[in-house]
Amino acid sequence: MASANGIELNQVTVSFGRDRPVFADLDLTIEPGEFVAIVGASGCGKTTLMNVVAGLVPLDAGTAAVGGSPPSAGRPDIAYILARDALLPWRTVQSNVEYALGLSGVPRRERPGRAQSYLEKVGLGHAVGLLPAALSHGMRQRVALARAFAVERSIYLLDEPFSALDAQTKLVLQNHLLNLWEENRKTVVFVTHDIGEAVVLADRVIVMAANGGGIVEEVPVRIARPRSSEELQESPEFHEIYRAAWHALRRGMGA
Amino acid sequence: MTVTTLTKVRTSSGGRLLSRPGYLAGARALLLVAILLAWKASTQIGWLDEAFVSTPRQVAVATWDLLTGEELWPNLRVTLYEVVVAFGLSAVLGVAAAIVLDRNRSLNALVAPFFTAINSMPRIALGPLFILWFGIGATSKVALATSLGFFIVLVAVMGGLKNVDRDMLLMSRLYGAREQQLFWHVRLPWCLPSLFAGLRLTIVYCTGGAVIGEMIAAQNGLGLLLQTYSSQFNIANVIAILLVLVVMVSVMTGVLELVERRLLGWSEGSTDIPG
Ligand SMILES: Nc1ncnc2c1ncn2[C@@H]1O[C@H](COP(=O)(O)OP(=O)(O)O)[C@@H](O)[C@H]1O
Ligand SMILES: [Mg+2]
Repeated sequence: MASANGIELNQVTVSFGRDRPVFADLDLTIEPGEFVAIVGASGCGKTTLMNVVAGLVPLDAGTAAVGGSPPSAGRPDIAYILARDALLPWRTVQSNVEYALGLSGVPRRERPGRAQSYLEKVGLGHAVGLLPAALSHGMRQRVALARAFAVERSIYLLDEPFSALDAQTKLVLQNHLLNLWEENRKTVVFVTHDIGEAVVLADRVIVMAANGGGIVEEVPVRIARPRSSEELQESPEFHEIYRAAWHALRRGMGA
Repeated sequence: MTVTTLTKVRTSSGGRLLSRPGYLAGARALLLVAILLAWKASTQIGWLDEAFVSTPRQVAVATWDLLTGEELWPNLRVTLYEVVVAFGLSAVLGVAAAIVLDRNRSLNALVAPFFTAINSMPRIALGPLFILWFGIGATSKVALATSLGFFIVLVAVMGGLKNVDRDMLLMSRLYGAREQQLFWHVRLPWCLPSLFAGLRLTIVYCTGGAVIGEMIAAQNGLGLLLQTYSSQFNIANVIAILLVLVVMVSVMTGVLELVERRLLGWSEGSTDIPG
C-alpha cells in the first residue's frame, strides 16, 4: 500500500462518456521516491493517466490515491509539468519562477533567493533577467523545470516535457532533471514516447498498449545512480534494457 | 539556416535606404512636398477649382491666422475636453463590460444581440437624437463619442479575454492560483495588447463622434467652426481646422504609445508565443 508520497491506482477506468474507454481496470502502484517512466504510442492514454493522478479527469470506475488521499487539482503536494512550458511572456525568467512560488504560498522575501538558486541549478543563473521571448526552446523548458522544483512538491508529474527538443538538448535537460531529482528523490512520473529517455531517467519503465489496452508490461531499469544521460548512451547495460523496453512496446502496439 | 540568411539578405537590400531613420524622414518630406506641388499645380493649370480646394499657401496663411487668433483655442479646448472624457468613459466602461460579459457566459448570450443591434446603428444618424436627449452642450457630444468608443474597447478586450492561453491558466491553477489571481496575473496582462490596439482606434472614433456632434448642433467646438467655415465656403479655414484635428489626434496617440511602450515592452517581437 503506497501511502505517504506514493500513488495507487486500483481498477481505474476512464472513458470520457464514450463506449470505448481510454483504459479500463488499470492498476498501478508507484512507491514514494520512485522514478517511473510511462511509454506508449500516441493516443494510448498517457496524458489521461497523468490527468487522473493530477485530479483533472474524473474516474468512471475504480479508486485512486495520491499521497494517501484522492486526487484533486491544484493540490499543494503535486507539481505537474506540461508539455508546453506555459511561461508568462510578460515576466522575466526570475519573475516566472517567483510567480509559481507566490501561488504556492512561499513568503515574499524568500522568493527571489529561492528562484535564483533553482535557476542556477539548471544553468540559467546568467539569464534570470531575460524575457521568455529571448530564450531558446531548451532554455524555456529549463525554466519550467526550475519553476517546478523550486516549489518543492513531493510528487512530480511530467508529460513529455522534452519531446519538442533536439537530441543533444534533450540529453542536457535529462541531466538537469536527474540532478534536481537526486537532491531529495521525490516521486516522479515521467511520460515520454522516447524509450531511450525513459531508460536513462527511470527506475521502472511502464509500457502502455495502443487502443485502450492499458498497462501491458513493466521493464525494471537496474542501472546505478547517479546517472549521466551522455555516459549512458555508450553503456551496453543501457542498450540491453533499451532493447527489452523496445520489444515490450512493440508487443503493446500489437506488432 | 540558409533560408533565414537568404531572407534577411533580401529584405535588407530591398528596403535598405528607407530603413535608415534619416532617409525615411527625408523621403516622407519629399512625398509631402510632391503632394503640395501637385495640389498647387492642379489649381494653376485649372484641373482643380481653387474655390473648392484652396491652395497650399492659402491654407498655410489660414492656419497661421487661426493659431495666432482668438477663435481657435477656446473651441479646441471644448473639443479636446469632449474627446478626453469620451475616451476615458469608453475605456473604463468598455473594459468593465468586457470583464463582466467574459465571466458570465449566459449574460453574454442574453445581451449580445442587443449590443450588436445598437452597435450596427449608424451613430451619425443618432446625432440629432443625442442632442435632443442630452442638450446642445458637451454632454451630447460625449454621449455620441462614447457610443462609438465603448463598443471598440468592448470588442477588443472581449476578443483578448476569449483567447487567453489555456496552458497559462492551467499551469497557474496547478500551482494553486485562485480565480482572482488568474485574472490579475494571466487574463489581464494577456489582453493588454488588444486593449491598446482598441484604444488607438477609440481616440480616432471619439474625435470623429465629438466633431460630428458639434457639426449637428453646438455652441462651440472645432466641429462648429468646421460647419461655419464650410457654409461660408472658406475652404482654407476648413482644411486648417482639419490639420489641427490631425495634430490633436496624433498627440493623443503619441501619449498612448508612451504608456503602451512602458506596459507592453514584453510583447515586442513575442506576438506568437512559442512552446
Ligand atoms: N478531455 C477529453 N475528452 C474526451 N476525450 C479525450 C480527452 N482527453 C483525451 N481524450 C481521448 O483519450 C485518448 C487518449 O488521449 P491522451 O491521454 O492524450 O493520449 P496520449 O497522451 O497517450 O497521447 C485519445 O483518444 C483522446 O482523444
Ligand atoms: Mg499526451
